[in-house]
Amino acid sequence: MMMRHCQLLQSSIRSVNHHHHRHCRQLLSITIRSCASSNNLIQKHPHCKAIHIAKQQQCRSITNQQASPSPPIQHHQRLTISRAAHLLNSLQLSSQQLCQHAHNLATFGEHSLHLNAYVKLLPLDDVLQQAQLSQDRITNGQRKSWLDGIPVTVKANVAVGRWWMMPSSSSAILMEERDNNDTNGTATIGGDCNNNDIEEAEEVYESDIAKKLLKECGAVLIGITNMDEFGMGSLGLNSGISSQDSGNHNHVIGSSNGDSKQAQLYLDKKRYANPIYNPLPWMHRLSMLQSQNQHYNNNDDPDQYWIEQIQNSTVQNPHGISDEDALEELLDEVRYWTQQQTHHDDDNSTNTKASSHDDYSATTSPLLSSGGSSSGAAVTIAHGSSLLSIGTDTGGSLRLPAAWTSTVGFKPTYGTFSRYGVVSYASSLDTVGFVTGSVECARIGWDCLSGSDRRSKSNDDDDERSCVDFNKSRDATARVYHDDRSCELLTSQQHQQQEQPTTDTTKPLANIRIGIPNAFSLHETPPLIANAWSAAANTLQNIGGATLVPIPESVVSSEWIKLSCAAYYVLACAEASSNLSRYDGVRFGLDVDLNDFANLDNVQGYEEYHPLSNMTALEEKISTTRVSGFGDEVQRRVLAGTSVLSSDRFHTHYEAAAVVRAKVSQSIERAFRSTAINNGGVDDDKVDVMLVPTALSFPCTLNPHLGDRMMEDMDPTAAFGNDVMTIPISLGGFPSISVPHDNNDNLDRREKDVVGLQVFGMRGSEDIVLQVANAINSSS
Amino acid sequence: EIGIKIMMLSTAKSIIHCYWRSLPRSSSSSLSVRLLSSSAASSQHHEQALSYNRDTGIISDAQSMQPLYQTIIGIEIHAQLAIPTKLFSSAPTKHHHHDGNNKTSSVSSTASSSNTNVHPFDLAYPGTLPTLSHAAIKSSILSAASLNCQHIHRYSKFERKHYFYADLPHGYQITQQRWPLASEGVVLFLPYSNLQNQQQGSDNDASKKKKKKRRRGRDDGDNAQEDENSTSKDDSASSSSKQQQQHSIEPVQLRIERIQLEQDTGKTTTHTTTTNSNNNKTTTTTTAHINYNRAGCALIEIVSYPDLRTAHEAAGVVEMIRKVLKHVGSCDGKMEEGSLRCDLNVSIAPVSSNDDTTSSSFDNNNDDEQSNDKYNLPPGNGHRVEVKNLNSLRQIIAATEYEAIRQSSLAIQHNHTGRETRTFDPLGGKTICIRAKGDAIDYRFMPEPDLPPLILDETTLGSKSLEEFLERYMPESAEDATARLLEEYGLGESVAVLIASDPPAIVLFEDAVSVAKAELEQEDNDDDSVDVSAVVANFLCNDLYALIKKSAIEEAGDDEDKRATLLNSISVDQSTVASQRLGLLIAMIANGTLTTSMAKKILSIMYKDDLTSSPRDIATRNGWEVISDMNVLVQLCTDVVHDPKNTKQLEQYKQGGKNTWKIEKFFVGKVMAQSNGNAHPEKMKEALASVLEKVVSDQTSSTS
Repeated sequence: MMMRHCQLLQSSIRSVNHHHHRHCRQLLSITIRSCASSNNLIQKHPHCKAIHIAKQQQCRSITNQQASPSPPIQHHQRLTISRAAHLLNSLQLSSQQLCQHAHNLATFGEHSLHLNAYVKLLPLDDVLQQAQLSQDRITNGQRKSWLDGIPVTVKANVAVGRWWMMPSSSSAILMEERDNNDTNGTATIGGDCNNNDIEEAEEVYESDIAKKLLKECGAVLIGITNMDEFGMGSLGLNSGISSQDSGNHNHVIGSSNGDSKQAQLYLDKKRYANPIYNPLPWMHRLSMLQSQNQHYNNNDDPDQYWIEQIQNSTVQNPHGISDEDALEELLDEVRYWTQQQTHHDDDNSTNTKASSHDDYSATTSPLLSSGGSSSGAAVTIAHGSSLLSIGTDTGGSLRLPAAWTSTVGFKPTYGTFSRYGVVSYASSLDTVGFVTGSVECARIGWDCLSGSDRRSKSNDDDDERSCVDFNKSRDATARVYHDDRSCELLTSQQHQQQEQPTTDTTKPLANIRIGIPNAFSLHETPPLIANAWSAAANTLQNIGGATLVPIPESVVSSEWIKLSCAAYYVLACAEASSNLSRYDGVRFGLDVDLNDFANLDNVQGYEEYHPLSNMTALEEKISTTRVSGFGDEVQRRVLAGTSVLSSDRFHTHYEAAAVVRAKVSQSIERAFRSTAINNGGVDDDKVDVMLVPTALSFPCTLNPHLGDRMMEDMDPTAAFGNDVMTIPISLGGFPSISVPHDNNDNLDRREKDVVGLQVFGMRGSEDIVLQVANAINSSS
Repeated sequence: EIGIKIMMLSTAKSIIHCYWRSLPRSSSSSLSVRLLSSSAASSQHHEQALSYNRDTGIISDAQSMQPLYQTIIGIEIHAQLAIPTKLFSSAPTKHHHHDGNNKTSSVSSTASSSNTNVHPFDLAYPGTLPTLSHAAIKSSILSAASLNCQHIHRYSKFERKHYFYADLPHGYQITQQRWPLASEGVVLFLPYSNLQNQQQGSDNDASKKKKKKRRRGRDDGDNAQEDENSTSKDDSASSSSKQQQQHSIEPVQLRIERIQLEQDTGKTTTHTTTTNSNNNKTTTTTTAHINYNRAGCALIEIVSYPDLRTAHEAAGVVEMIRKVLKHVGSCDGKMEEGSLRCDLNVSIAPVSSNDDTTSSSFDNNNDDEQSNDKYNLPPGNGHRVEVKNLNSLRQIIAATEYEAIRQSSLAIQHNHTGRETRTFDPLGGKTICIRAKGDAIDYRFMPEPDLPPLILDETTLGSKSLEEFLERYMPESAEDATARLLEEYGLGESVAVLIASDPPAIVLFEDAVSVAKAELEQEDNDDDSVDVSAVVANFLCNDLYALIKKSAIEEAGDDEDKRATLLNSISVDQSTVASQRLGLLIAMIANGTLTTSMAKKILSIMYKDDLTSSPRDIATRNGWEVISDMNVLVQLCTDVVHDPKNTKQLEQYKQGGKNTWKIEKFFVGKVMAQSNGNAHPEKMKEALASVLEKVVSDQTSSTS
């Protein structure tokens, strides 16, 4: 397989001449050529379609909104952080009750709905213990923040102290201690090196963001969410964690001398990893069952509804469905669809049970992809088992799953939250952010998590001069950001102050200029998404009072936007291949036993895993570790990255991609108002934020019965095209938020027709971005 | 047996075992041990006998002495920065002093146990990020300035250099490639042989040592005047039989291309065990132990142009750079500990036949080159061969010589060497190929995305400009320091030169003097009879250095090489007695509490046996205190003189005569013994005289 990928790469990536611009074009064609399906995606429509439709529909959308029949309880009507915090603060509900409910939902989601959203669900006792502490603070009036006592989850690539000491996104990749009777070795290395009594030391390996969320803000951790391995993938299919593993994440196959069966088992585990399923179809069904509940219909006080819901929550039935037969039937169907027919050791009794459901096989699979790579984060929010979920966004990893699960995905400016303790995929793009149920929740999350950041900043500056305090500023790239940001914040504050007097309270967005970039309007945009885009733009203009500004080709060039996708994959793969070098099996990486692999070349279907004959023993070990530890997608990207960094391709590929990146972010920057001030204050055509769709497609249907790839026509590189709307924003490090937009005028829409819209602004303009996003969110 | 296991033991002393199926390729060939005789300038090789002159760099036919080739050498020096943390993490290094006492036996006796000086970042823990150490920035800027770099770049960047090896935790090394910290430096130095001669026989006493220090303390190559002066002095001091070296005494120049900051790797040590199983099968298992204590330590890599022409030049310049870095305090220069390692790029160029084929022609050639193009290699220059990781001057010389002969023999057979990488086997005295050209590694350099560019602005430097920064932190040159010591403290020239050549000694000296003076002032001791500075300088140069040297010799044991390097790098830095205690000790001499000999004993105790107590405590504990009170002394003498045991002697004395001085001496000894040696010698004699006088006068009065 390695060889095949090498060849594939070599055939697709050809060296080109030394002219930069030509390289960029070449680069595009190379990557696009390999992404067959995205090839026609990237074609610009001659006119800015969104604006056009927006004008046509200006009135219609508003009237239609009222005319549309009120749906049964919608999945977007989730428990918000502010409501939960209010219930906790008014002591109507205890944090233990709230977290117990969240834990019930999580357990139900994992065991009954088979969502695979968690790689680790904390034991209930641990959850309740945290909740108890929060509750004590709340009763004593010492609430740490709005998030105190609120159930949250954290993505698997983030270190969370004692609960998740070894951040990992793949079951197979981290070497664990062979002998558990030894002292916990990971802690020994992870702890402070000078500390002899590590056992007692509180200080374990913990990321800055987890520390802030759990220690400083007091949130209650429910579990660690699943993701695409190393954040690579946008469908949630590459989790690298198979069903055998879930719940027993750190399982390592013991060595058994020369048994090629063991080696096969290893590789199969990786092959048949379970996808992370979108809960929307089930949520829809559950809410229909819920609406039959008598007590709900009669109760229109949402506070009361949630108190009842939470107090009556059980592990078997956390959604409070009164018709238990209907629930059992639903779960039966879930079991039928999520059952993998082609599984190797598929001799479970469930197989016979599934056969009694022949009637399902006539219908299409209801299973949907959750989007990736922060799939688990979005799923836990969509399902309700946490109210804020930390994730990371490299090229759209928070925003795409948020769009597909109808949640809110927020990626702040690159470097806002320290990346320390977060497994690096592409260091220059990785951004820590979060998923929440609504923009209002995102605002609370942003205030809580960034607030302490701002406070500690002034202290940092003093120390920095004399010597580096390693514990205070652990992410050097975040520091750069903060230095830049202090100026930008200043200008944006002045900016706001100037305009405040004219603010009209009835038109909250009165002075905000919203750009609709022509360059993002692509021919392939499905009508539903184009409609949502224009409807949202309308709402902002008519209700919010914002000014819509079409951004012409001359400012944000579609040329560069088109190239950005290719540039992204070159840069991200290059950095990934470098960042993942550490998984060599010496300290980190799958702990393979070479004896198990020695005879594997005799077994059909596994020839490719045998090391080359001219390798030294160490190379053989490293090779086997990486081939069997990394998933296919990861190997593909590592190889691509290795290739573009090789000395004969560095200039033609990596450097060309870096040029594209600079051009893209410059051209987007030019459109924003904060930079216009520097350019002499002419800001007629400048904007504060831009509005674009998050994705150009709907969640794809998954059918585990089709075998290991889940989809009939799935090209491994096709998924690359999914990120075309999010990537340019990532390249520039701009803050961006994906907001679900419910198109109520479309009555016959399918469950999977969810649309996410993205609001993004200049670096450091999170406040305005959230303000605009909130207007979309609350109006739809 | 197929077996490869790399595992990390989970205890704090994690060691990584790697059982290799066979020996690594490089060491599997059997090695014949060939020791280079240290004096021989020629060695035999292959069919044609060739000889290599280490002073001229000429390879010639051993019989006809026909010059054939000239060696062309460039060097890369990796110097570990002597800073308390690693380059990108807070983990302590061997230069980290644990407590507030600024010195705790940094004489490397406290080598940390394996894999304890590690931060999660040093082990490439997923999610950890680098943070650049400010001490490393400071230290590397000082190094660059001291090597006369024209450009210390305001803007430099870090890059990743990728390769897989067990002791490289990240799978890449963070280094600088396209945007180095500094470039275009110059070092002036003397070839090795001259150093050798000056060092001979200068080991034992401080006065000779002074000459050596003087000679080699010439850091500022620009000062040619000074250089000549000291040269002539030294020549007169050393034997005149070394006339033939006179021509090469002129300093040689080496241009430095670049200086970059980078990370060190971990250390792999391999142990091979061979076991015989029953059926006559032998199994060789090589276990590799990896120690990550060194991983991530800050290095500067100094890359030179290929300006060197001889083995002795190569060794000489390494020694000079070592001294310069030590002087600015950026590197401890301990080659034996790997703090300073050296890679050589050796190639040969044919000596052109129409030229005058003497060494001087090459010297001239050398001078011309400086105005020529960048690399200005002579025509016909062969492919360069890189010899990695040389740890001593002897290895540098031996490796150059081996390469010179090896490459020449191959060239004679028209079998030119390609570009390759070799390592030096110090036991066999040979270089061994580790990578031929075809196996060259593609290091896949990539900008380091986890670190912003290093910009030497006010925030980073803490000074307004680079000039101001250097003004503030650059230690004064040895010459300036000498002048200052002469002026301010009125020291003798020899002592001043010795102290000035060792920057930590200047600090120690000045601190100790001020401590002693403050102490005396506090006691209201206005006695100006003792020159505190002179006493401090005397104790420092004689006794303290002697103690440091003694412990260095003890540490080296029988290891000749180690002994030589240790003695070469004697510095007050290694002293366990800091300025505070030395100052107090001297104050006690000055105020008459201690005699000089007591002070010497106390210093010795402070150095070896008791690393914390104040000199006063040690004196009290041992009952060492000068008795200088006249009344006490008189009482003491009276007691001894009238002691019944001494009646016989007293009677003799009373009788007078020519032997009275003997009796006097007897009483002096008795009194001294009685006082446990604490009696102030002069005053005690005075007291005794008065007592005896009284005895005699009493007698005369009684008889008369």
